[in-house]
Amino acid sequence: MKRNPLNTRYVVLRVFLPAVLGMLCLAFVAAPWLEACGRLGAGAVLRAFFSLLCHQEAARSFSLLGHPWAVCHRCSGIYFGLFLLSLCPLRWNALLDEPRYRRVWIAAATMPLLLDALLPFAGLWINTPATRLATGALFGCMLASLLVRALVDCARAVPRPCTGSARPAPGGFA
Amino acid sequence: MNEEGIWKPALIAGVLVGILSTIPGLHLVNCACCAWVIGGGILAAHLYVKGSAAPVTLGRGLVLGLLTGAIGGAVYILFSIPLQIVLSGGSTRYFEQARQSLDQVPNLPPVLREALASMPTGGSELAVLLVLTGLLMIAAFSLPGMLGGLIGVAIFEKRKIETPTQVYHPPIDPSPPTGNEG
Repeated sequence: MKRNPLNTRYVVLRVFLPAVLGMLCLAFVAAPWLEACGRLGAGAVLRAFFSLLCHQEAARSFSLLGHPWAVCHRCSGIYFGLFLLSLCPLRWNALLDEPRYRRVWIAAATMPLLLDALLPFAGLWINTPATRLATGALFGCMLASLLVRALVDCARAVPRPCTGSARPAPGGFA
Repeated sequence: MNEEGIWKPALIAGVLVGILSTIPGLHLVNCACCAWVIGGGILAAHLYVKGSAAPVTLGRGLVLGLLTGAIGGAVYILFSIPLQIVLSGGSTRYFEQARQSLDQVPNLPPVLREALASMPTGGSELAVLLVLTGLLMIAAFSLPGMLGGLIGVAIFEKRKIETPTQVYHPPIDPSPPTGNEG
């Protein structure tokens, strides 16, 4: 039985994406652990990397062994959401082919995050670590669903290699 | 797919992202989940979808966003370092101020403090440091830019894309062969 090159790409995608996202999640949780173990330099490097993407305010971050994580509650939720949804099967993601469903999904995942972040400024809502984590995770799930779909598109766009049945013409280039 | 058409929206949005992320005060918007960069990706996707005759895939949005973020990062580096040097009154004074502010950071690891104290202030070492910082910034801008490109295409592309899974396959006749053919 011949192996479909597209299936091979999907397998690579299914392993590669969760692996990268899982390593990111491990990295921001590892920073306080490394600091608590006395490896201050390694922890500082991880913090410096995440400082490019997050404000890292200690009061708005979870802590481990007395040290804050390298990202805030909301960013932790986004990364966890990205990782968790990248583990889900691809099949359900075909819903995103329908532009209407896609927009509803984006609005449904983004509105809670925006409301949770902006309503406290108007004094209408007080956000907590749990709400920041949950709204961030929902947003991360939405991002992961789009990311997986986009990578599938990219896998399809890459030209397929020559199969055994397609023989080169005599005298031509293989 | 229009390969050349991807550069124009990426350049417009990337330059805008780089400039907005540099302007003192306005750059703080990036503290909210890199909002300028994500917004730049969305803008690039909007421009690209508007000018594309064929439906734009999410994969194309991903590439467009990556490109926008990378251009934004490069523009940010080009503008921010000279601006910081000018605002602090010269390169030597800029590095002195950076060291003084680092001295005030509590619980800074001694290894890191020593490394920062021996940071070069001129010559080829400084150039290497700037290039490394630039590459890191381009990578850091590319990630949220990519997500912005994805969100932008998902929002603005209203035409349905025919995927290979939706190709029509004619039904196969399940009746067994009678043996009279031929």
